[in-house]
Amino acid sequence: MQPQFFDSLLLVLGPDVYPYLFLGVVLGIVVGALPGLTATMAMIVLLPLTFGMAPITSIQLLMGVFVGGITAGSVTAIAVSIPGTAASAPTALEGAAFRRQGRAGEAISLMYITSMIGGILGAIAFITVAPLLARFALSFGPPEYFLLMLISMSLVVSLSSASILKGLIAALLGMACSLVGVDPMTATPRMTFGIPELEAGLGYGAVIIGLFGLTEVLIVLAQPREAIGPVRADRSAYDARLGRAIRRLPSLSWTTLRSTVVGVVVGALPGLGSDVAAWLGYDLEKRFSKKPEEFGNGSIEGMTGCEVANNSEAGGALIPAMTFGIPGDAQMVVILGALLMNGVRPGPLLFQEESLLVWSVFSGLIVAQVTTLVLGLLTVRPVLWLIRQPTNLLYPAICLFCLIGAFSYANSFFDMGLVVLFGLLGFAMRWLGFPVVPMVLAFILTPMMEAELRRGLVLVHNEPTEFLQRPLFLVLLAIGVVAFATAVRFVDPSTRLRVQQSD
Amino acid sequence: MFREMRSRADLGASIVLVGVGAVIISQSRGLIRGDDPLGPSFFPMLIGVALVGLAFLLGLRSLRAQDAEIAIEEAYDHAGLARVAAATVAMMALVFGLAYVPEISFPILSLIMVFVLSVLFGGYPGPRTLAFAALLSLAVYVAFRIWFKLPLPGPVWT
Repeated sequence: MQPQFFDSLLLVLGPDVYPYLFLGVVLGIVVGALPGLTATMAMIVLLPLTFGMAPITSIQLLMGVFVGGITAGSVTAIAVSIPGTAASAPTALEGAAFRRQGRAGEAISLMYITSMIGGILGAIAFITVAPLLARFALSFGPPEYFLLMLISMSLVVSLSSASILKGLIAALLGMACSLVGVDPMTATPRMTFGIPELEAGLGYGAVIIGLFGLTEVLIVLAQPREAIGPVRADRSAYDARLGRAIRRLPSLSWTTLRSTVVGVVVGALPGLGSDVAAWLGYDLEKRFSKKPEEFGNGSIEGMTGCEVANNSEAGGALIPAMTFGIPGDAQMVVILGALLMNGVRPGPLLFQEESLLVWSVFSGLIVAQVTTLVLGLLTVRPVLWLIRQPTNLLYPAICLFCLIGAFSYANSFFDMGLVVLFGLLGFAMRWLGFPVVPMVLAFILTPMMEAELRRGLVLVHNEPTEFLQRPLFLVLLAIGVVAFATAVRFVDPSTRLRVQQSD
Repeated sequence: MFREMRSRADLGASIVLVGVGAVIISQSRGLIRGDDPLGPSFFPMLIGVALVGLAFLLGLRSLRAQDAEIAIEEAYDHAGLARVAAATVAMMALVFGLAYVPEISFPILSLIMVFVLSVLFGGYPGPRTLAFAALLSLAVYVAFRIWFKLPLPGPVWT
């Protein structure tokens, strides 16, 4: 076993880091379990608090929230058939049957255990594949990086938008927002409209907090009053039956393996996310199951397929995020945002220059999964009590944290105003059917794309046709065209619609 | 009927987006290129032209109601949209208040905003909600001012 693994494990479990990871898991469990609140929202609210932290600490805090949130969303999915997060939606299908059969508590215990196993397997996939990919990526030049980012954006548009036309428009809006400020090569102000505050560009924090945080709050606010309210859990949810849950594990080994592969592959593809992984894991188990009639009637295999896939997706998503700096979903956008704001640039060199950071991501993911299992099982009762409380006090608090968070980054009231504007823009976009993820991804990737393209053209003496003489460029181009065509031709609109409606 | 509503919304969006694209194009003209092969104007011009073109296409498709884009979110009622508008005003009032009238201080401005938002989210406009708003505002102020050392405008005695 690599010595860096033990070093990073000691670091993550140390007094400087573990308390933050623990706090992240606690917050993630609370937020994930509450219907209407998402893990992404919690990560957004905490993002500004990470500004003053070391990169390793800030990642562990955010990953704790991510893991806790994705897992705990299934508690309410089982207890009241309302998924706490979109990634728990398939589990919610089984929830009502579990309660009828008096097995809700056993299902919750099994959910936590299988989620942990899936998450750890996904982390192993990350630390196995990512360094190999990073070594390969070292041979990439500026033209290849430009093309890779373009392909990623195209995939996100084609996979996460119910309407590809609206997805493209959203991506263009994100690109336009990213160009506000000063041109990095010539120092010329661009699209600043004479406003001095815009010369520094639109901050990552304001855009991400507005589009992912405030937008969700406004969407909840716009819904009819009866949709916002506390819920009550079934009594059987309080009976853990941990022993019975553990005895079921050997019979679920193939399910676990299959769903891990699904989760890792889906996570590695930009634009899909944990909820697509959850549905694909669930659907795949239905096809392989000897008892498909049990699906929708309390199928443990179905629930396991969903939970393993949505947790192993994190490991898959970290592969392109850490290797190329390309976030595949909303949660990775926030994690990469935290790294960038701490001055750490993800990419192949990260594995050489910051290997301890990379290994600590792996160790942190494992520790977060184990912590979530232990804490989750211990906090089922408090969480079920919490979901009975009125939520009208929570959302205003989230708004306040979003605004303060935006201010805290640069002590700027202008950024606070931007958060409100982007929150409103995100609400209008979701209302009109425009996806938000392509816009945020384009906002993050466009400055890098522009820089790589301009550097690439300098490399080929302003002759773009010379790109086609680079073998790696041609291979990437072929892969990109096939992937895009496959996504457009074979991914059905209902899958894209599901992705667009999630966080 | 829903498709017609959706097509009207798409038409409105396309008009706005054509305007945004035109603004981007106008802003990118006149940027000096220098020795750079692309120059600072290339990407904005490309984005502006693409945005105008795609927005135009969206508008054309919306004119045929049967081709209206897939409805994603449910149609919100007027009450819901009014709540969103009120929440936006409350939040912008906090921002402008902090920026231009800091004498009012953060705890008071945020108390007003949190109280208004709590009522909009279905809370009863009574003492309990007011107490929660006051507690939250004060706790956030103390935490961020003292712990994180953020220069939030404070009460006159600080």
